[in-house]
Amino acid sequence: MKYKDFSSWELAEDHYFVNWVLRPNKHSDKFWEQFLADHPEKSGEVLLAREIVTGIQYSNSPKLNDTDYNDLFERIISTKRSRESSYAPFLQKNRYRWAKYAAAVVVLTLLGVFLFQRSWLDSYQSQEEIVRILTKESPMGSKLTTVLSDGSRVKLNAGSKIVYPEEFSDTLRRVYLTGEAYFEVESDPRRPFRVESNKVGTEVLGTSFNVRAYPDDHKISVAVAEGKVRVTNAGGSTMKFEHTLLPYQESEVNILNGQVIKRELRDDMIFAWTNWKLVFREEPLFSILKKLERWYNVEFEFKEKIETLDTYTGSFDNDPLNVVLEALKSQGAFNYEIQGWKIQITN
Amino acid sequence: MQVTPNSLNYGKSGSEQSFNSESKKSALLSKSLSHQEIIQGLEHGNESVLGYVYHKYVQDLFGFGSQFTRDTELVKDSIHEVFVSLITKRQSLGKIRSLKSYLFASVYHRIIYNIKKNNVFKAEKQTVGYLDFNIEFSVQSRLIMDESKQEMLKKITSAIKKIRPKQRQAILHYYYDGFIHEEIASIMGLKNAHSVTKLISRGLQAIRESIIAMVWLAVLGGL
Repeated sequence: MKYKDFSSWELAEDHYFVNWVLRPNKHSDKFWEQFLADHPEKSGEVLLAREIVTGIQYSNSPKLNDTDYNDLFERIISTKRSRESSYAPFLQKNRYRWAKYAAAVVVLTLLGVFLFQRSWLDSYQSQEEIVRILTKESPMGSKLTTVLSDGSRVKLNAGSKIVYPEEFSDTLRRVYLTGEAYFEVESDPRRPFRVESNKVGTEVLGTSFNVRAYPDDHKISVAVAEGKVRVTNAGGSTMKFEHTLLPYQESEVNILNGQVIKRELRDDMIFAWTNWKLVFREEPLFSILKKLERWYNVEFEFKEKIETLDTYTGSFDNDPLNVVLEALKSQGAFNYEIQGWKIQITN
Repeated sequence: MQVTPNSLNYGKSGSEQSFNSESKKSALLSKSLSHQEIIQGLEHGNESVLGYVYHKYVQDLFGFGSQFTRDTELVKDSIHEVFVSLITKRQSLGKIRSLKSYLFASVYHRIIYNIKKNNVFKAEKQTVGYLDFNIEFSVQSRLIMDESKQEMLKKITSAIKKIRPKQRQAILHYYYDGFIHEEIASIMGLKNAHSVTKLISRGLQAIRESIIAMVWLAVLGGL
C-alpha cells in the first residue's frame, strides 16, 4: 500500500486523504480504519495530517449582520420583481388574485408538509455517513465520565483526554487516550475495542480496565479489573511485545529503557482513583507530587533541594490538599507554604 | 412587506405573509434541495429557491468577497448583481455543475469589474491587487501526539502566515471551502487544475521550509 511511506505532509496533499477528512463516507472510513489497523505506527502521521487539513481557516472572514443580511435579500427580491413585472405584467397580476385563495390552503398544508419533511430529513441525515471526531478532556483538578456511542463508559482522571469518533465503524471501536482512564467496555464480539496510547495499544472485546499513559510519565500501565485484555506495542514504538491480561494483572511499560513487565496486582489500589481515592504505597515522592499536581491542579516549586526518591505510603478519601500535604510533612517529607495554586517546597 | 430568507422565522413570516410563495419558501427552507431541484427552481424564478440559495451561500460569499476589498458596500453590490443575474440569466443555468463555485467565481468577477469601474477617475488600477486571504491555523483537538508533533503544529501556525497570497487563496479554497481543483481554477481564473496543484504544493512546501528555518534558528540561537 502506497500510504505506508507517506509523511503527514504528503498525506495532507493527497486527494483521497483530504476527501476522507473533509467528506468522509463509509468506504473511505473503512479504508483508513483498516490502514491504521495494519500500520498503527502511522497513527501519529495520520493525526497530524488531519490537524493540518482541518486547522486551516480564514483569519479574517467578515459576516453580514442581521440587518444587512435581510436588507440585501429584500433588495435582490425587489429587483427581481421589478424586472419580472416589466417582462410579464399579466402573469404578475394573475398571481396576486390566485394568491388570495392559495394562502388559505397553504396554511392548512404547511403543518403536514413540515411534519413530512421532518421525518424525511431525519432519515436523510442518517444516510449521510459523516463521522465527527470528538475530544473529551478532563482538566487538571477534575474528573469526568463520558459514554461512547456503543454504550461503553470512560472515566477520565485529571489532566487526561480521549479522542474518538462520534460513531464507531462496523469492524473496530478505536479511541485515543492521553493520560489516565478507566474503561467499562460494552461487550461486542464482532467489534473489538482498542485504546491507542503513547507506545501501547490495548484491545478488548468487553471488559473493565485502567490505562495510564501520561505524556510526562515514562511508565505506561494497563491494568484489568474484569474480563480479558490484549496489550501490544503501538504508535512508532520500537519495542515489540504482546501480553494477555486477566483480572488483577497489570502490564507496565518503561519507555525509557524499553522494559516491559507483567505482574499480579495485590489489591485494587490502581483503580482507587475512580472512587475519588488517592492512594500511595511506597511510592517515590517525585511521583506523588506529580499526581498531586494533576489531582488538585496545583504546581510545586522547589525552594531548596529535597530528597524526592524517598518513598511514602498513604491513603486519602477525597481529602483536601492540605490534609495530604500535612500527612507528608508529618512523615518528614518536606515543609511547604501554599500561595494560591503554587506551593513552595522547603527542606 | 417583510421578506426574510431565514428558515427559523416560521411564525413571523407566516403571520405577515400575503403571497403563497413566501409560505412555501419557509417550508422549503427546512429541507435540503438537490442541485437539480435548485437549478430547476431558479429556472422557474421560484423565490423560495432563491431564498434557499441566498441563505446557504451569502455569508460565505460575503466573507470571500471581503478578501479583495475593504469596501463592504462594493461587496454587497456585487453579491446583489450576481443573485439578480441568477434570475435574469435563467436559460443558461443548466450548464452549471457546481453552484457554489459558480457563485464564488461570479462574485469575484463582479468585484473586480466594480473595483475597476470605480478606479476610472484615479487613472490607476493598483487597488485591484489587494488580496487578504490570510490564514489562521487553529489546532482543534490537542490530540495524542508526542511533543515533537505538538511542537510541529505550533510552528505551522506561525509559518502559514508567511506564504504568498495566491497560494493562501488556493489553500483556503481547497482545505476550508472544500472546492476541488477544477473549481478553484475557475474561481481564481487559472488555466487548469494543474496550476492549482502547483500553487497548493508550493504553499505547503514554503510552510515546511519556513519550519526548517525556524528549527535552525533555534539551534543557532542555542549555541
